[in-house]
Amino acid sequence: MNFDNIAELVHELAKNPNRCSEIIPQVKSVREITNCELDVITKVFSKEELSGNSLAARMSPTLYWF
Amino acid sequence: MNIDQIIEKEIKLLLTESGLSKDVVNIINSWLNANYRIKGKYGWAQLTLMTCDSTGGGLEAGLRGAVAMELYALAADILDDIQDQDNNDLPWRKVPPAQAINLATCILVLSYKALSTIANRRHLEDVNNVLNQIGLQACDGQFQEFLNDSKERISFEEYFEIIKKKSGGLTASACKIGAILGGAEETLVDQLERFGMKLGVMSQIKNDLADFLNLETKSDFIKGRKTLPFVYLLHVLNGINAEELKCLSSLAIQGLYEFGSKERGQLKELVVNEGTIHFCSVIHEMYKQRAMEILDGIPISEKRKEKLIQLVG
Repeated sequence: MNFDNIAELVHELAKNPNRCSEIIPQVKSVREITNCELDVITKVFSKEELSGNSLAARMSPTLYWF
Repeated sequence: MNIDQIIEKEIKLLLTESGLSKDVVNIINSWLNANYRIKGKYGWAQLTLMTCDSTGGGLEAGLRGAVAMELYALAADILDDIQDQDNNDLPWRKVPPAQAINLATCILVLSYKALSTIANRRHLEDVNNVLNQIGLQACDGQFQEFLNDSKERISFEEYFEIIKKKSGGLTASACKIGAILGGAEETLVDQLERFGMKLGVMSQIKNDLADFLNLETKSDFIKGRKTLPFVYLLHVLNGINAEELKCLSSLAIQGLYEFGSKERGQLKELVVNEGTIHFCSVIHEMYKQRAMEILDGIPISEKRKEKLIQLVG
């Protein structure tokens, strides 16, 4: 997992929420991000109509250890 | 009796046989209860038992390891809170630190005592080794965290190295202990340990984000602690926004008086506008997928995996 690249892409998408479908296909050939990782990013941004807090609330696990 | 009641009975028996004075036993019981109110009842014991069950071990096989894990995690929580000066509402933060450290040590020893009745000597040795190793790892991770507090920034790799040693290590240990006591073969023990690691990282990401969004009561940002949202913002921001974050961080470190509602609003705006929540969600989801992949590859029946799958969500 290349966290730096993922962070930069997520930041770019967050700043340009209307251009996700344009940006993500371009990324495939340029950055070290796997298809699987891109799928996850696409999935999270497809929930963008949700507020940030709702996104956070969807995180599992439901048992809370820390 | 349900599982919670059985665990409770086992802990009571351990405390009765410990020879500890009534005052100490009462305080330990009240601290256990305080932890449950926040984190749900016997989360650590349950994780250990779930893993033991998934490998075919019965309740009896996993119970002592489960109790040991529950007590070990409580002791670790107490020591962590004292060192971080965190969670001021909890009872161990309301007594002098010397008393809290003394009782945390007592709980830690009780954790090892819980194991001593495990009849299978090989299992006993293996579980002891797991607890020893996680203790060393967690101390190491905590020390790295202290050092990082004063750094301007850390890399994502440094962040993950620490949480794997601390949170990930604890959940990995609970799963490993459950698997050992369930009589699993080495490969399966390793797989469940790796699953536990992912679970711990997921939990910590969730916790980091919740803390970062809860600036009124949590102190991570005020301490300069490099949690995932902070590491992300330090990485992606530049220009005016980076300056703003730096300024907010300096004010927060000076204390909550300096870091008022205006500053909290500014930080919240940075969190929302710069994709912090999306980033944490993405990384969380990636760890979730890896946890599911591990479960997919484990050679046990779907029925036995069910509870572990539910944990991942």
